[in-house]
Amino acid sequence: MRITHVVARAFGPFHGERLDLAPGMTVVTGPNESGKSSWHAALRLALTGLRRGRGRATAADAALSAQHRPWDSPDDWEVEAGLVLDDGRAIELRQDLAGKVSCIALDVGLGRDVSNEILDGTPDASHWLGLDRETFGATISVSQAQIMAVTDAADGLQDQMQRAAATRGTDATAAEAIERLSAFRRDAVGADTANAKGPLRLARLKLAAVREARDVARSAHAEHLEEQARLEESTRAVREMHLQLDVALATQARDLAVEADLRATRAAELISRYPVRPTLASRDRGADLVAAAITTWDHRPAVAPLEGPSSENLQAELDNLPEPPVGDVAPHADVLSALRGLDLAEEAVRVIGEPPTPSTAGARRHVSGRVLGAPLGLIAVASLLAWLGQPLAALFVGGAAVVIITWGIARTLGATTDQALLEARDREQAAAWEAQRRLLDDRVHGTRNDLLAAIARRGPVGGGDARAAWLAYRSACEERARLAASSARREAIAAQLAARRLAEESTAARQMAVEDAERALREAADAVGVPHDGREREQIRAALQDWQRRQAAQVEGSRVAIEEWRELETLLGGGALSDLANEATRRAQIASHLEAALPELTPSPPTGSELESQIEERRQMLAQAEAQAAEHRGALESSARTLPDVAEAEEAVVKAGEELARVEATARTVDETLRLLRLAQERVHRDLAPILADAVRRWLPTVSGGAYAEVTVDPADLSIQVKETRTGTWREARLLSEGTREQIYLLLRVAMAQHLVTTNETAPLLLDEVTAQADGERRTALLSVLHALSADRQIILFTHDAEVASWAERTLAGPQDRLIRLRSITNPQGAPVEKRLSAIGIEGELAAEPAPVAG
Amino acid sequence: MKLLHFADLHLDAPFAWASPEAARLRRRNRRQALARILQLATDERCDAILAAGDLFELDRVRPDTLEFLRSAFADVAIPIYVAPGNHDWLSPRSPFLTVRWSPNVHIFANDRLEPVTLRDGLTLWGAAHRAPANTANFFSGFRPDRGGIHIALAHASERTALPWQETGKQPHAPFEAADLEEAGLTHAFLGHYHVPRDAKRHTYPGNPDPLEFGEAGERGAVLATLSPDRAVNRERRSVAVSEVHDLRVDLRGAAHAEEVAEAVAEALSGVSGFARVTLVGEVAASLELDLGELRRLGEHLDGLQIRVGDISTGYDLAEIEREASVRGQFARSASGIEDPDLRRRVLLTGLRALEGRRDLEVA
Repeated sequence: MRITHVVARAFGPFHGERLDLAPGMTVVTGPNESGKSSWHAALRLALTGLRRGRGRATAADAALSAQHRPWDSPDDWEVEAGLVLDDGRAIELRQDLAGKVSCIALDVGLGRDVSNEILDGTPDASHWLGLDRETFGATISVSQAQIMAVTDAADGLQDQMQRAAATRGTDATAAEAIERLSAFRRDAVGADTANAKGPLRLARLKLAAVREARDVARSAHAEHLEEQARLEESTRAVREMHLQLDVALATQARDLAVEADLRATRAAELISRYPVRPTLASRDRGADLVAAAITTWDHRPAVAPLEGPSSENLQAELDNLPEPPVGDVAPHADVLSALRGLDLAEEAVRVIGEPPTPSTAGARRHVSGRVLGAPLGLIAVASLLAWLGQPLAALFVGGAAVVIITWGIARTLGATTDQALLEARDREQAAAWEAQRRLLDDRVHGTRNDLLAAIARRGPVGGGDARAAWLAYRSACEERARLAASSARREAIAAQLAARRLAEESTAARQMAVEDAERALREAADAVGVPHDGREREQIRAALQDWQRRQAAQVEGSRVAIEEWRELETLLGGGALSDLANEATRRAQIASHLEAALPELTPSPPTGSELESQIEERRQMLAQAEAQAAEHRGALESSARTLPDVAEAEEAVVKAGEELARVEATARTVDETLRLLRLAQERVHRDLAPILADAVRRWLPTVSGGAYAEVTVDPADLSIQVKETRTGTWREARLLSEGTREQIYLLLRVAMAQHLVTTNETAPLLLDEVTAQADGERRTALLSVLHALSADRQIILFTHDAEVASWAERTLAGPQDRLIRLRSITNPQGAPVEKRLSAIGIEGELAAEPAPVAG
Repeated sequence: MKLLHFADLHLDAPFAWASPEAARLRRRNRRQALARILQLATDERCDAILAAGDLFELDRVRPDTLEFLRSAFADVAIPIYVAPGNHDWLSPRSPFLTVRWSPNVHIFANDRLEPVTLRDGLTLWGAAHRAPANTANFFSGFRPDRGGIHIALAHASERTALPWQETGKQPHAPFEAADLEEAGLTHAFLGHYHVPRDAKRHTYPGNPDPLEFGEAGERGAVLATLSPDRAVNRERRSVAVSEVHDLRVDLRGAAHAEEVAEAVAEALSGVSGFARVTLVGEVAASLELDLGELRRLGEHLDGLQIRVGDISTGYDLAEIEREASVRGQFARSASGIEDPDLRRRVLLTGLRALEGRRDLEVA
């Protein structure tokens, strides 16, 4: 795209002025107030027009309007421009900057309106470059400020490239945007750690707090409903207790009414019964007599007839019985013992038998028999002696028996045939037998004497020997036994006799008592005038008892009367019968009133005699129920006063939730934006870096005078490094000289312009005072680079620098280039302002109408 | 017989969007709406008042509100029949059981239809929700055990009408319209659906005071006159106290905040009560939208909610995506975000950041 001309129909100070531009490099120079900035603005606005929208203009547009509207006809603000696109089309653009209505893009060759190709409210030729109004200026315009930014700041180059890479130079760099977003995130979101105090953390805490408050409110609300229910229950209990008490009181009142009515009725009855005070009947004097007689008679002893023999008969029987005998009626034990001893002694003698015969062969067996016979006798004697209490003698005898037996056994078994020994043994045996015989004889004699002595101790001894005495004694015992049996009945008879006599005495006494009792009955009957003649005793008694009952009844009657009189006095209580009747009526009314106040369905009235205690108990229960109800009521009122509002608490939760959601959404948005920005930055820089590097590399040796030949651009931040030819050392571009940085910047701007243009068009460059800060050499170098660049794209340079104008005069001689000199608008050689328009002239060699530049 | 039917008053319901003061005012307005209903019943000499559920929010109702309700009911000399709904369900601790209601108030207490004789030959059958959810059909299998005309009062969901209700509405005690005829009911006076509906055999009066913005239909209380021939004549009466406006403001390419404020102020001029303003339309990319500032335009109102609707910012995204710049690459990457809201927010945030703007928070 190349701009052929611009016509300021009504633009700033210009009306109908035209500026023709060369296809290569055009330098527009003039002093201050010559309209350079107006032509610069006219050129740009002729291509892009102004945005047409509702309402007020943006600040930028307003500033443009204020600065560049025609001074004397602000409603006519028009500008035109001619373009030649790279495809060869010649386009005429007309912009109605005031009304934005009569705007058109006209294909000159076809004579056709092609506004729709580039329409953005109004025709915007930047669209042919794939740009828009904002980015068009940023892409194709290079300002003095931008040059200064590059030269003044060490990283100005990098910053400019980043800005251009990010937003085609209109706004912030990606890094700035990322930093701004990060700062925004810190402020608007903040960290989510425990100690953080940023909005996110605060929103979470706030939400947690209001949730807790909501839960507390809900809990308090539920508890309040519970308390309300408890109050209702306790109120119901109070009503129930009241009803119970009312029923009990009504029952009591009814009871009292009944009682009062009974009292009145009773009093009336008593009054009718006892018109006057009754007197107490005295007890008849004979009453005691009668009572005593009856008692005596009733307690008289029973007289039962005696049975069995009389005392006389028993006495006679007793007299006929013998006296008990004196002496043994059975043999005494001593006598029997003595007798036993005699029997044993005599037996022992018999047993011991004859003396032993000397031993022979054929008599061994006999001897054996004898030998064994003698010891057996000795054993019997020993037993007797032991029984008689003579152990030593029994031992001696028993030892002799053992000797004999032993010897006999030895002999019997043929232990020895020694004849002398046998004889000796025979002699021993005989001696032993003799001794034993003597002993036994003595014993027999002794036992006989013992027997006699024993008998003598029991009584007289009969004649004869011991045995005869024994027999006599035994007979005497038998006789005495018979007598004793007879006389034994004497004691029983005597006892029977004594008992009989006592019984007969007792019977006599009873009989007498009975007669006394009967006499008492009759005397008592006489005393009280009850006839008794010809009556039996029981009849008399019955008659007396009747009399007694009548008497008692009489007394009782008077006593009852007295008591009832006292009762009457008590009932009346000093008052009259009418008082009681009135009281009964009053109580009946009270009872009826209380009963009428009860509901239809009432609980069963209390029963039992302890009505008063039941009433008291119910009063206490009612008081407790009322106290509890009051407590619940108080609790409910207290709860109601401090009850948090659940709806408000829930609203707070929703609001806090929304706020948290907002912050979280902001966090998500910012985080995703940062992520995508970083990715975009990385990717674009990665794509852009080699492009920029190539652009610089092509011209670096030229602009640096061969000092640097190689360049790299870091994709991360688009920082530039150049390689020093001489040393091979890589240096950061920001460390290069200002002039070199300027030139590199321009190279980069060209590269960037080409990169940012998304169509196949070649974007022109509009440069404004880019050499203002350069000295002579730098300026020349800069201008040389620009001139070289103009071979590929149109470059239009606005400057007031006379040196630049001089350079242009010298250098821009070809048909591709042009120098345009502007004059001052305010003082065109002293001419009045109204004539200034005609005074504006364009000096310098004018080229022919530039031919369309192909491509 | 003349009846006044209302439902879904929702006393003490929350208003999350409003300020605490505005929310309290809305809740006070509900009470006033009830007062209007009771006054209407008195003025029209109604024979009975039918309250078809959701009279209050059980989980939120304040003691003060209950006392107001109790005394308001006590002051009107007309029998009032209440069928508790799913929001004021008859829990063991329900105020319906614990408050000493005046004798003219009858509260149905069982989850099956029970009769009350309104007059000879006319029986009102009512039922209650005894749980916050899962209440079964009141009408299926029901048959009156006496002669005459039978009408019903309940909080129930007629199945076919559910799709036309507000989003999130759940069916409670669902039934088919045919159930009413099979049950031998002349008419059912219902609650639960807030969208009013006058069907052949049932009526939903709608909520008497606005609950949300953008409510459609003529909502309020229904005067129903029963004729001996079983005809039911219905007449709707508005009893709303809250004035609610749902406004849509097209920003039409507004380029700066003042234009937006002017558009909103114009929309709010002549408006009173509560308003919700939804901002839609295209705005310039340079626009900084400050909702907080816009809310101040509603200071003369009882409450104002400003929300961002379908707003398109005047970035030529297609053009930006063609850029070879970081911006262009960013725009291309961001356009691939699936969530449309996140995509919009990321794009605006990134573009604004690249423009060096401070208003990086996107509404």
